[in-house]
Amino acid sequence: MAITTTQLQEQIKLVLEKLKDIPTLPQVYTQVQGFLENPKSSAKNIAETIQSDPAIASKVLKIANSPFYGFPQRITTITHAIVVLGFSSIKNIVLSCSVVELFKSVGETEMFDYKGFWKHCVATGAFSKIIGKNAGIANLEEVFLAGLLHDLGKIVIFKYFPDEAKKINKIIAGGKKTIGQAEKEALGFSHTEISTWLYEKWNLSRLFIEVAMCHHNPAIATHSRVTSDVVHIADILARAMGIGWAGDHSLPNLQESSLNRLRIKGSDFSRLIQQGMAELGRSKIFIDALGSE
Amino acid sequence: MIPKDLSDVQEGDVLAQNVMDFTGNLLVNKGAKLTQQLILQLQSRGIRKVIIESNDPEALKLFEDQKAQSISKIEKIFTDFEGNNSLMELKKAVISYYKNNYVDF
Ligand SMILES: [Fe+2]
Ligand SMILES: [Fe+2]
Repeated sequence: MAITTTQLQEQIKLVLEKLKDIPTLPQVYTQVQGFLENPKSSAKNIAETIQSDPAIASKVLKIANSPFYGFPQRITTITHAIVVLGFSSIKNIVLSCSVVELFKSVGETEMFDYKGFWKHCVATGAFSKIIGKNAGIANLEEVFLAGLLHDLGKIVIFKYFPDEAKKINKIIAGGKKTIGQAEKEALGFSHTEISTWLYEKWNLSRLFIEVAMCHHNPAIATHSRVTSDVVHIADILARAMGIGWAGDHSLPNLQESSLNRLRIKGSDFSRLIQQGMAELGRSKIFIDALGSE
Repeated sequence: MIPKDLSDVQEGDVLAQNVMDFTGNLLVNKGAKLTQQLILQLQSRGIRKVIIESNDPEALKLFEDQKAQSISKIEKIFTDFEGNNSLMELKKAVISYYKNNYVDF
């Protein structure tokens, strides 16, 4: 009997709920999120919360001052950053910094090139921003983050399922299979399901959950179809450019329907690559952030 | 085509790639010859590195080697997709990008 999606989800949950110390986002993110949902909170509340985590606070300032935002004046305090960038940007920056911190704590593993993987995430974010811009999406910061977060389930597998990870690496060494296929063979499910489970646990917005779930098959997206299409193409462009390490030596299936919905023709690739690489240059701060304190 | 710190460039060096500022605005077109004034202007805009044309055989060899290595990596990524038109167009675009740009990621 074929396993239905719901049954699969239940099985995955059973496996994952047994994991000890699953990755969590720093407390500061949850607190900032809480403040933003409360109309009575002030910039002062949020600034104090961010400052309570010095590692995050210093990264927030670095990113706010980077070419990624491109503000001409120098932003020197968290309060200043909140005033200039606004609540929603601050929340996004705190989320991306939190993910960097998370990477630092769970990232190190012999079986997985986590720095290369982080580059893949940032490159996918940068290409997502450009493709999203071409598709007319207004909130490009969110599209960048959706790209940045699309694959985090992979790192959970390599950190928490060492035996299966060995199997995955063996399958991939053959050169023909994608990491998603190898994960399914070794584990019965893949990084897309793990990310979905994790992001639900983290209480992330539906956009990030759906993009993580659907980026290899955007046709099944219901809530965030366009962004899923965008990240699907961005993931393939980042891999095609050979930037970073997505986990395998192949390419996932390119969905022609995504290209069609976004009206991208083969002749557009050159321009998207030019723009995407320039955007990646402006996003370098995210790559550097992993190496800095 | 080689990357050089702005503090090491010399007057007369020719830009091999466009120079953009922090926000992504074009500052100087590729092909421009660097003058003392231009170098100072770029420094004041926070630019630290530029890509310049080079005749230095060692530097050129390094760049050509890096390019060849990247392109063979790209060829490998696409080996199984000869029949897919979109992916073949993508491959063409990627290789042409590597031929014309210095990539340091
Ligand atoms: Fe993926
Ligand atoms: Fe990916």
